[in-house]
Formats: sequence, structure tokens, C-alpha cells
Amino acid sequence: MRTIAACLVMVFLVGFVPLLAERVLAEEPGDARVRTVLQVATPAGATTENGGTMLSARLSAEDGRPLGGARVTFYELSTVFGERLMELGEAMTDTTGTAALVLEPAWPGEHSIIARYGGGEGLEPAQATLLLQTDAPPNMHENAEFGLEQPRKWAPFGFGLLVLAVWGVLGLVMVRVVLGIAADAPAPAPSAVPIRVFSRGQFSASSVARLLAAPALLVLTAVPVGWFLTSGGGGEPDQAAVPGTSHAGTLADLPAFPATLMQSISAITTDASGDVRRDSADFPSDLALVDGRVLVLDSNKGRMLTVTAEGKFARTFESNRGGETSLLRAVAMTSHQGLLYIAAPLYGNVVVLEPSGRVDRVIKTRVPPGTRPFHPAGVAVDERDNVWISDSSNDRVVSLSPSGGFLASIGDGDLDTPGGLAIDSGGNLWVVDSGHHQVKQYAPGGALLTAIGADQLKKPEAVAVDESGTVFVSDAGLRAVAVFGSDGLFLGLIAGDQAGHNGEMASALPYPHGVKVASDRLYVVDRLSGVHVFRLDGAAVREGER
Amino acid sequence: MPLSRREVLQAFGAAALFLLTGEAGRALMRRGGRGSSAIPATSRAEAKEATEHQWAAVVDLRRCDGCRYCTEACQSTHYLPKEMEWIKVYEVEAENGNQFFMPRLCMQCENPPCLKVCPVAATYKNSEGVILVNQDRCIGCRLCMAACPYEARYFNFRKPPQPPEDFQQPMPEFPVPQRLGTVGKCVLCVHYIKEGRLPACVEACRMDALYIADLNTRVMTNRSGETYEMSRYLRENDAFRLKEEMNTSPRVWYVAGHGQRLKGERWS
Amino acid sequence: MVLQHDEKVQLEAAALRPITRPGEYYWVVVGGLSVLVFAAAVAYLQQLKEGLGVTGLNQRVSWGFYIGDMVFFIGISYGGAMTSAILRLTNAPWRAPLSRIAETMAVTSVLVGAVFPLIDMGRPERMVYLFRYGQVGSPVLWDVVAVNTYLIAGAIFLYLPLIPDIAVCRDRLGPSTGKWRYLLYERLALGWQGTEQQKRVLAWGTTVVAILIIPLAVSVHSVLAFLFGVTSRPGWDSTIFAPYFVLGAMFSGVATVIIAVAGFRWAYHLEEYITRKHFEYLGYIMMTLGAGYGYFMFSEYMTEGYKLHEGARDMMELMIVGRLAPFMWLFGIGGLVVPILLVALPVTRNIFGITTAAVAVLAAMWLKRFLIVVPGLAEPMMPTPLVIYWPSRVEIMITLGAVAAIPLLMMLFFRLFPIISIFEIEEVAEEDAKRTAEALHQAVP
Repeated sequence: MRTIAACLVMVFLVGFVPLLAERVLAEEPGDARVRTVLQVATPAGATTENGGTMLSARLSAEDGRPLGGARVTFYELSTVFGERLMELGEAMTDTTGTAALVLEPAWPGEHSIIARYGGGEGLEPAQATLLLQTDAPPNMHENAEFGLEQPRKWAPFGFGLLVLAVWGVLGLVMVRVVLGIAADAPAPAPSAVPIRVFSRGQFSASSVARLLAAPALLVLTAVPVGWFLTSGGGGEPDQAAVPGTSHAGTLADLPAFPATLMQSISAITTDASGDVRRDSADFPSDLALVDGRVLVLDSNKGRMLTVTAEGKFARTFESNRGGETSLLRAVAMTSHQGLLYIAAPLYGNVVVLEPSGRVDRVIKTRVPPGTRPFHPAGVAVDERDNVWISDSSNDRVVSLSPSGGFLASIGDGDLDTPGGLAIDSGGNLWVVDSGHHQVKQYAPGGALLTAIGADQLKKPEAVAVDESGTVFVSDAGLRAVAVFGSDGLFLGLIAGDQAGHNGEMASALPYPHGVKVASDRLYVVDRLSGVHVFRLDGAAVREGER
Repeated sequence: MPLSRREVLQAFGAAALFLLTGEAGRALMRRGGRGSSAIPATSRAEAKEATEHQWAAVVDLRRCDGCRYCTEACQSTHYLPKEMEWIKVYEVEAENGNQFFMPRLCMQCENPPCLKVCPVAATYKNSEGVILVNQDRCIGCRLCMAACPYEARYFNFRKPPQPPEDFQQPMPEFPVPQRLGTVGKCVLCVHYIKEGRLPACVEACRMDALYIADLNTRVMTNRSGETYEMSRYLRENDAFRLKEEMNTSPRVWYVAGHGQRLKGERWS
Repeated sequence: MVLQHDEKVQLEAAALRPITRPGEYYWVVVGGLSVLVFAAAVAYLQQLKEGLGVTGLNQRVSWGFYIGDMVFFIGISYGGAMTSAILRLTNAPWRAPLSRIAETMAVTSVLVGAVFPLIDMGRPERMVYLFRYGQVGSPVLWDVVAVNTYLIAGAIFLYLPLIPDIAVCRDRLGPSTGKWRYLLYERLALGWQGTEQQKRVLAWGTTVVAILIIPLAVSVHSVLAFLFGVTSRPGWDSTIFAPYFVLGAMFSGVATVIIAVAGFRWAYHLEEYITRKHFEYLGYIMMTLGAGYGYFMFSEYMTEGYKLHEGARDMMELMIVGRLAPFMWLFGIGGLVVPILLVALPVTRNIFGITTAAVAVLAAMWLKRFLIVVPGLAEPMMPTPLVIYWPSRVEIMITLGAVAAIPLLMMLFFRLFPIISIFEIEEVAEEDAKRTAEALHQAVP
């Protein structure tokens, strides 16, 4: 008995202990990691012959020492299938810490380039963004040739001619035989039955011509008319609408709102072997504050992340990706009385979660169908537990009862692609009207109270309002958060680090989206770079523009 | 034999008469040879958008596990009977004895045999390169089904399932409900793509194996957001197309996995 | 020799007898055939209501009986083109008593065959679209144009030599046959009197149409073949398909002529005019065409079987040793070898033997059409197993109805118009006399 027990203990020691040890002793990315800096740029004059642009990323440690042998992945923001980060490719850094990739732009205009270093042994991950302008003409895919060109062009005429010839000969034969026989027919004999008999003399050339002239004329006019009718449509395509140029100022023109960046939680984290950790936020969209915790919605993976005390992301909750609680591609989240409300686009539901991730309930919205599918871009809950959702595809904001029943629709005809929502301390609803570059305030009954930001905002995404009525609007075009006073006066921009590199804009907020404000803290979710927390300093600064 | 003026006149008159009733006149009336691009009135609006996008698809065979969620999603989205598998998952045995699954959707060929043989141009290619069927015009001759080398076209032999009232808006881009006696096939859910959604099969694939792509901007993405630059991805993954030798120039690429080579493969 | 007067009277009497005294069983047969046709119509109505799901067709084998029937029935009309047109142009005098039956059969079988594409269509009410939106690149359109043109040409070809015979009806039968019938004869005879000028113009017209109808006939079956040949399916992807189909059509057409001639000869007692020699000549033609068809088949299978491209191997196996092998061998032996032997061997070369051979050929050729259409679709081009197809009750009933419709239409036709072409017999006799006279003249200076 004892030997058996001893054997078991031995097996346990030999087998399981190393495993346990490995797990326990596995390197947690602790504070001993070195910060790295990634910078991305296009070296001047670096274009390839087919219009490609060289992207160069330089990775260095905090102290400036270049880091070689690191894997840098390049992404570009694409809007073709909704907003997605398109992986362009990977490159390894050389001894000077430089990794390069050729970008072959497929469309003219702005390209948001993101370079990410996932981190390594003892090295922190890093990210850099670059805004590029290219004017290469849009790539047009060349189709394979369909059939043979010349025969396709001439075949119908050949076919038509052939058929006409055959029918013509048949017609000729019939006519000639009929007339030939009739020519020799006897004079009509008296018969009991009155019958019309074709008699000689009734069919001279002129009478034939007259007889056939009418149908011939009819046909000769019918053919071009028929051609015209059947070939109708397919006129010149309308000129594509020239995209309106933005009317807001550039970042350099607008004053800065005093705020201090307290904390940035980078979107990507890696584990010891350099692979991206599952806790990374791939494409975060919105956040909510519950009981002092920050919960972040990662829309690409449909899951919830929380920020740990060490300032890292930790995975909290994975949603059932195909099911009714799926959070896939959800971009709107808010908190209300300790619960999280997420407007999920997959089934158009509002998923209500506890901060732990446990599903409290699923509100199946019963919104009357608009002309386009229901696409929730913003969500807010008022004190009567009614849920407000902005239906961006249908240019309206709808309010629902706590059980999902449709209550009212506001902003019809007024809004153009509404985005984020927020409810202020007065119970009024703030709606981001991204199509009109404004933020609008509505009374709960639907009356429009005010509209602000028309001169400053470029591409507003989401809005948050603090107790004093200061309005914070995240703007992806300005790459900053715009701050407006309760009177609607523009107070300034919060954009974090603005260090340019080779003259390009490299903001710390390349794509700000979700914003939430609590006392003097502003929380911003940037879809590319992660979550940023600002301390608001300038509450007293109110006088005019600078 | 020499023809007199009278006979010539008679001949022309006779020919004209036959033109009235004969198909020959109409053969000349039609826009010759471009029947493949005839766009029915319902979708003429799309023609104006010119060629901003050219849709295609990529299938990652390394990931497909044969669950057929894609088929179910497509059938429930379009209210199809069970026998119409617009996306069909084949079980194939490879050279090395491995079994793998291969989803096949309409290849959206650039040189499509189905377009060539349709007698009324009911099947046509829209400005984005997607092959559609106008079920208001299809006469149900089924020559296109015989001509398609990928067996991707299906026929409504019986009255198709009817969706609830809200859906009665059939159009070639979203042919719901299907029409009895006409041909239907995968339309790459162009209707969904235009509204910012993904095709039903791409959305449903639980292994994230199906990608929808745009050949102009060269973006390809699947339902979980994995987005790649298409030309690089296809090159680096040795992507191939089915039945390349037929010169149909299909727009669906496959990434092989499981160690098999599919080129020149014999199906068992 | 020119027809003597009493010979002529006898001929006319024989030709007109079916019109005036059809016989006791006439109505029974017509009734029976009509029942079959009516049943087919009812079956089709069911198909119209429920869709093509009432057939045995499925998503892979989407063409079956109907398309096979279409090819078959249009094919057998070639008998008319052969016997009437080709033999006319080659001045074969023995064709004269057969030509009316052959031409009528040609027109009725094209008529019936041309209905099958409509029956097969999922949306037959949209047939007009073929004319409004027709695409010149589509074999279906070629099919519609060619078949319609051939139908009209065949009808003209039937009508032209019929004019003098209608005149005979008009004159011999007179108004006593009924007001409307007499009106019909009067109108359609166009005032034929048999003058030289009229005969000349008629001969010219008939010759022109005879010349025209041969390439037309070739084109019709070629475009039917292209329906299959333009696809890439194994078994259909063959360059020989057009001549293959044309020859097959001629083969089955001649067999049908033999059967029709035998049938009507027996029913209307035309033994005096249609003799064993006619059957022998027709039998020789059928035999030669059969050998030609076998040669084409050999060429096709040899070249396919040698290379064994993808799909070809399975097709070969299927047809030669697999599921469809019994049918294939039945066709080969029963449809080619046996008939050829029956005609070749003197002991069986009589009316009964040749007719039996023709029946075998006809049945076998129908089977062959089925063997072309169905395996081409059943053999998959993607990795699925072979698909089975069995016809449903509806398809069988419609096919039987079509088979019944042809003799029915012919019998109704011969109730109105003479079954023997009096005009052609006279024409032939005159030519013969001319030739004899010339020969005599040369022999005796």
C-alpha cells in the first residue's frame, strides 16, 4: 500500500509539478519591461515605379537604442466593409531598428497607416500612426475578356442577315408560286356557293406594290422605333458626387483645452514569446464606468475588457458571437445603475450585462423598420430606464421602453447619420449629428434645443456631458476631443501628444471614438491606440479664443 | 434565272411581310452581342455608381470544418428550399488521403459560361462584377445550369418558401422570395454589402474561413474583423482558383490547407 | 411511261379513298390516340399548376425526358427532308408515292417536337421574351429561330406539291363534300388548272424550297446539338456533336418514314403503289445511315476514351460497363447491328423485316437521345456522387401523348388531303417518258 502511494506521489511530482511550476513561474509582463518607441514615416522621395509608397518604421527603446530583429506589422484603416484594420504586411527591423514595407495605395486620398510592434521579451509593445495623402488614381481591377470581341460584335448582324435571307427566299417562292398559279386561273365560274376566287388581272405589279406598300412602310418605321424602344436606358452615368471638403480648421489652428494625459493603455499587449495576447483590444470602440472600473468594448472580437490596476487590459467576458448576446462589432455602450447597456448590431438587440459579464437580460428592440437596416451607433439610458438608440442608417434616434417596445422617434429630417448619445444632468439628450458636423441637444419630447460645433467639428463620433454641462465630443477628423461649454462656446481640443514626425500628423488619438467623463477625468477610447485617461485642468479657462 | 423588276419588288415585299412576323427583324433590333451587360430596369440605378467596387471572395480551406453553418445561413436569409445550396460544402478526399471540406459559392466568373448561353439575358453582370439573375425575365430553360462548370446554379422546381409580409421586395440583388420556374444562385449578398453588412455565409462561418473582398481597393475581410490586403495575402498563401483551365476567370480564391494540392486533382 | 387515263383514275381513287371512306377502324384509332393526347394535356396542366417539380428532374439532372423528346421528334422529321427533298433533287423516281406521307410526317413531327421546349420551360408564359429580349449568342434562340424556320419551310414544302392534289379534290369531290371543305379546297388550290405555265412555276418553287430545306434541316439539328456542345460537360464537350446529331436525325427519320409508310400502306390498302422495292430502297438508305452513325459513335468514343480527360473516364465506365451499360448495349445491338443485318440479309429483306428493323431503330434512337441528355448531366463536374434520374408519371404521359399525336395529326390530315401525291407520280411518269423517248431517239437515229 505504501509503495503504491509512494509511486503515485512520485508520478505526481515528476508529472505535474513541472507543469505547475511552469505556469506559476511563467513570465508575467511585469514592470521590468522596457518601454519602446515606434515611429513610422515615409522617407522623402520613396515611391516605387507603380505608384507605391515606402513605409518605414523605426523601433527603438526608451533610451534611443535601436531594436533589431523585431516584427512590425503594418495596418491601414479601411472603410470598405465597415471600419476595419487591414493588415498590409509584416516586416522585421534591421540593425538600425528600421522595418520597411511598400504600400501600394488602391485609392486616392487619405490613408491612415498604423504600425504595431507587439512587444517582446522584456520589451513593451508600441504603436505608431501615420496619415498619408496619395493621389494615385484608384485601382481599377481589370476584368478578364468575355468571349471574343469581333465575333460578338458582328454575329448578330450576320445572324440577322442569314435569317432574313432564308425568310426572304421562302417568301419569294410563296409569292411567285401563288401569283404564277393565280395568273392562269380561270374566270370565276358561277357556283352555288359565293366564293371569292383570285382572278386574273387583279394582281398586276402596281396592285401588288400598293398592297405590300402599307405593311412595308409599317415595318420600315417599326424597326427603328423598336430599336429605339428596346435600347432605351443605360445613359451616361451621373458624375459621382465630389466628396465635400471639410470646412473645419486644422489641428494647428484650434486652441488646446488644458488637460493632462494621465494614462494610456495600449491596445496591443504580447506575451513572453512575442505573440499578441488574447487580452489585447483589437479594435475597441466604447467604454463604460461602473463602480470605479473601466470596461472597454472590443468590437472586433465581441468581448469586454477591463483595465487592471497595473494599467493593462484584462479579458472579462466573451460574448456568444453568433447568438443574441453577441457583441460583435458593437460600437455603443453605456452604463446605468451599475449595469452595462450595449447596442449590438448583429440582431439589433440591446444586451444588458453585469460588470462581471453575466447577462442580465437581452432587450429585443421592436423598432419599426426604416428603409435601411437598423444600425445602432449610440446608446443612452435615461432615469426612467428608457433606452435611446441612434439608428445611424435611418437618420433617426429612437427611444424604447425598458422591455424594448418602441416609444418615439426623434430627429427625423433633422439628423444625418447620428452617432453617439449622451444624457445630461437635466435629462436632455445629446446626439452627435455626424453628417452635419454638429452635436444637437434634444428635449425628451423631441424638441431641438440647441446645435453646436458646426464650425469646429469635422467627423464627430461620440459625446459625453459632465455635471456642469460641459460637452466633450470625440472627433475622428480632428483626431482630438473637442470641448464645448454649457453655453455652446468652443473651449478647445484635447489631443494628447502631438509630436509630429517629418511634418506628418502623429496624434496620440488617431481615431477617437467612445468618450465618458466622470468628475475631472475624461476617458477616451481610441480605436487604434487604446484607452486614454485625461485629467481635466482647465475648468476655469473660459475667456474667448486664443 | 433572271429576275424581272416585278419579281424583285415581289421579293422585297415578301421579305418585308415576313419581317413583320419573323424573328429576323428583332434580331437586328436588339443590341447586338452585349446581351451579357443588359441591365434590367430594376437595377439600372446601380449602373450609375460605375465600378467603384469589384466584389470577390476568398475561402480559407485550412479553417473550414464542414459545419455547413454557411449553407444554413444562406438558406434562411433567402428563404430557400433545402435542395438549393447556393453555397455548398463538398467533402473531398485529397491525394494524400486527407479529407477536407470545400465550400463552393458562385464563382462570379469574369468570363462566365452562364451569361453566354442565356437566351433572354435574364442573367447579367452588374457594374460591380457580380452575376445576378433577374427572375422577372428568366424563362426557366435551364441551359445556364448545364453550362456552369461549378454546378452553382439552382432551379425552383416547386413553389419556393414564402417569407413573412415585410419581405415582398424581390430584386436580383436580394431575390427573396424566389420565383417558381426560374433559376437562382448565390448573389454574394450584394444587397447586404451595400448596406454595410457582410454576406450571410461570411457572417455565419464560425471558423472565420470565408472572406469577402473588393478587387479594386484590394481589401478582404471576414466576420471577426481579420482584414488583409488581398494581393499580398493571396500571393503569400499560394491561393488558387477552381477549374482555372476552363478560362472562366472566377473571382473566388481558395487557400489550401491540410497539405493537399488541388490543382489537377481528381475528385473521388 | 405516261399514265394512261384509267391508271390515272385508279390512282386518284386510291388517293382519295381515305378522304371519302376512311374505314371502320378509323374512328377507333383516332379516338384511342386522342385519349392519349388528352391525358398528356391533363398531365401538362398539372405541371403548369405545380411547376416542374412534378417531373423526376432534380438540381443536377435538370434536363430529362422533355429535352430528349425534343431532340428525338425534331430528328425524325428529317425523314421528310431525306425522302422528299434529297430524293427529289437526285431524281429518284421511286420516291413519288412516299413523298406525301414523308412530308406530312416531317411537318407533324417538327410541330410536336417544337412544343417540347415550351413544355420544358419553367415559365412558358414568358416565351414572348425570346422575341423581345432574345440574345443572339444563345443556343436556345438559335433553336427557336431554326426550328420555326424549318417548320415554315417544311409546311411550304408540303403545300406546294399538294396544290395540284387539292385541285383534284376540288374537281373530283366537288361541293358535295360540304360547304366549308369545298371552300377550303377552292381557296387552297389557288385556281390550279394544270396549265404548262402553272406547272413550270410550281416545279420551280418546289425545287427552290427543296434546295433550301436541306441546309435548313442541317442547321436545325446542328443548333440542337450546340445546345449541348457549347457546355463543358464530359460527354457533351465534343466537336463532332453537330454532324453526329444530324446523321442521327436522318437515320431515325428514315426509319420513321418506313414505319409511317408501312402503317398507312396497310391501313389504306396502298399496296399497289407502295411496293417492296420502296421498302428495300428505304432500307438501304437506313442501313447506310446506320453504319454512318455507328462510325460517328466510334470516332467519338475512341478519341474520348483514349485520352480520358477528367470526367471522361467515369462517363465511359458508366456507359460501357456501368449502370447505363445495358441501355447502351441494347442500343448498339438492337438499334444498329440488328437492323443493319435485317436489311443486309436477303432472307429478312422484306417489308416485314425492314419494318421491324425500322421499329427497332426508332426505339433505339429514342433511347440514345436519353443516353446523351441524362448522363451528361448526371456525371458531376464537382465532387458529388453520380445522380440518378427517373422519369415521373407526368413525363411518361406527355411523351406518350406526343408519340400518339403524330399519327393522330397525320390521320386527320389524310382525311382532308390525298395520301398519295398524284401530282408527283404524274410528274415522275412524264419525266420517265421523256427520258425513254430521248433514249430511243438516240438509239435509233
